[in-house]
Amino acid sequence: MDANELLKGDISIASLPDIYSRLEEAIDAPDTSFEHIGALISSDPALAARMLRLANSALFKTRNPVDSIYTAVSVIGTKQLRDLVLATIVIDKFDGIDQDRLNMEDFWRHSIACGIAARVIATYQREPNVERYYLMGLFHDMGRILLLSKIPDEETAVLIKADQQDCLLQPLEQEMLGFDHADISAQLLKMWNLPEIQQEAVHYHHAPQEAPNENAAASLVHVADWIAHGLNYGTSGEKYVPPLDEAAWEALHIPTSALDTIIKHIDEQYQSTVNLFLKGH
Amino acid sequence: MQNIRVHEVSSGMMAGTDICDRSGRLLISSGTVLNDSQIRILKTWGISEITISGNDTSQPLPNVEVSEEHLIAAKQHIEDRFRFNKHEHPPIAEFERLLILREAKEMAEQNAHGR
Repeated sequence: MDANELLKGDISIASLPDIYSRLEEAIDAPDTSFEHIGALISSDPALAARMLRLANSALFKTRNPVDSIYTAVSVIGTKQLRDLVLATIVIDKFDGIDQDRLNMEDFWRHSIACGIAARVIATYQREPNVERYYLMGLFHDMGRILLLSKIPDEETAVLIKADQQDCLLQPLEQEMLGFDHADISAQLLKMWNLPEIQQEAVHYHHAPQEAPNENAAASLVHVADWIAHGLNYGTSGEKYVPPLDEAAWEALHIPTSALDTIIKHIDEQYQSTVNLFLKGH
Repeated sequence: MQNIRVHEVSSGMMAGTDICDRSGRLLISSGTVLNDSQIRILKTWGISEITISGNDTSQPLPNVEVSEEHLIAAKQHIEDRFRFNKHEHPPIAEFERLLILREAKEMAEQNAHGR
């Protein structure tokens, strides 16, 4: 079995909903108005409601309640809006495919915690588009879900063996399957035509030093994943905190004393983000 | 700055230096205003004497009753979850320290509410 073969031909996974490509097109076009983008979002009422709640959430400190999609678009900003719409549709897309050994809500909780951790670190680093890092964190373990749905027997055997022998999942996936969930996560992002920086950061989140071009982004996601595991929000099936890559930590230039503050920021955002994305699940 | 015995430390005093355990793991950062549960941590880790900063704020911080058992249980649990990490590496040591305190506090809160 080859990691490249696993997702081939699966059109439902390979493509994102139409609304996303139309939105992306509109945002990339130089002369698009907020009204136009608002109208696009409004064509999907559930998505529109979600974006309104998002604009009114603690993430965007607005003085007055946001009561129209038009205002929501201007509050959130079009680029961030695109990324948040993507987060919303992907979580919805993979809703309800509960596996025997992995509960989807727990899985998303870990993914959201990692996304928030990545965004908090990116904010600390003064990165311009922090939602991009939120997505990398959110999607880093998607491969695990795909492995469980595409080759359930094989991946379940990995989970059982890791549990019985008290070892880490990712090296065991490599040993037993010849590839790991991070390879599959990267494949998925590639199929969705997401930027290469995101593909690479997700691909190398267990081995950031091996990332050919995007060492910094891979290191950031690696550290965010480490923090999310430590905080024990949700689970991706991994029982233990994966080892911190010391070089990745050094690369971020975060003073050890800042960890406390970073954790406080993650805690502040975690519950409201979970309510926003997982409400009704 | 003055050195005082741990059993003479009271909440509201400020740590004048970083306080580490025998293996060098940071327990309390310099400048921390100590509360009762942190003083208990010092005792739990077998610290006998610490340096106190001159400005004694003497403002006891609100705190829940964190017992030594909570701390020990939390420490065991966190160290087990971090078994694939080098405990002595500074960011790892700091993260584990924060998580141990967090978990011990959660246990104490659950205990308080459970009764």
